[in-house]
Amino acid sequence: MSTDVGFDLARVEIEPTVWKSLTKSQFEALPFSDRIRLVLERKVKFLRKGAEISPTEALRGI
Amino acid sequence: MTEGSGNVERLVRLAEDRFDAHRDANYRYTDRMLAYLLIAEWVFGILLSLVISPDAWEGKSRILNIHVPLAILLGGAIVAVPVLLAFVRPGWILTRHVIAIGQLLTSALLIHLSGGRIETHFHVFGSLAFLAFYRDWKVLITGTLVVVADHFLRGAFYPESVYGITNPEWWRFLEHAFWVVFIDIVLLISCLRGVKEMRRLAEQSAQLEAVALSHMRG
Repeated sequence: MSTDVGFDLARVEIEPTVWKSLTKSQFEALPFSDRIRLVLERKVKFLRKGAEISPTEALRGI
Repeated sequence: MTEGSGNVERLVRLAEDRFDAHRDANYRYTDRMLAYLLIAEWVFGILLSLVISPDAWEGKSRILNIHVPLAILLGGAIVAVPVLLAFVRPGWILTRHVIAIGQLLTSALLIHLSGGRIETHFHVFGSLAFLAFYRDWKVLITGTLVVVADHFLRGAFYPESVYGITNPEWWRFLEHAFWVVFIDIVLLISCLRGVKEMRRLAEQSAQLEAVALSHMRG
């Protein structure tokens, strides 16, 4: 479901050069420590309506 | 431990600490709020006893109705310990359960002072709604047990005090308990959502710090 705040899709690097798409609810269902690690290691990109947005913008609007 | 895993652990702990701090602040705020409410209800109970029927008759002599000292002394006894705990031990788990007991006993006293009027029973729902400010569903269980026990015991031994009639059906307390459980379910959902929201906010702030940290590390 697309929203006007935050992100609607997260692309997560599960291994080098392999990215997996997760919906917002799938991303939020990950253990909190995994989410923190992905953000710290920049292994997650956030998209809204198909366009990449900054992690700050994505996570501020959760 | 690597720097990365150290930062992950620190940020997870930070989120947990912020969640705990927010929840504790809410417990303390609600303790104080309900302490003031209990004091106000005590005063209201005294006024109620003075307005409804301050006098009784012994032959031709007019005497003070038992309701007046009951409102002052029993009402005072009911609110004393919860109010004391709210100011001496705010945030303590036992404080909010004692306040729940005091709040629902106050409902029971007001029902008695109004002669078991059905309208005064709505005070029970108001009390449970106030207790939901804690966002701790276990407090609702304590309050509900007090209501059910009070209705059962007074219904059996002093029915006019709780229902305003002398011969209610034996199961009347179950009917009241059913509606109390109904509102409990609504409030329980609200409590769980409130806790989830507090946790989400704590995690959100930690995640934003993780973003800032990742930018600093280039």
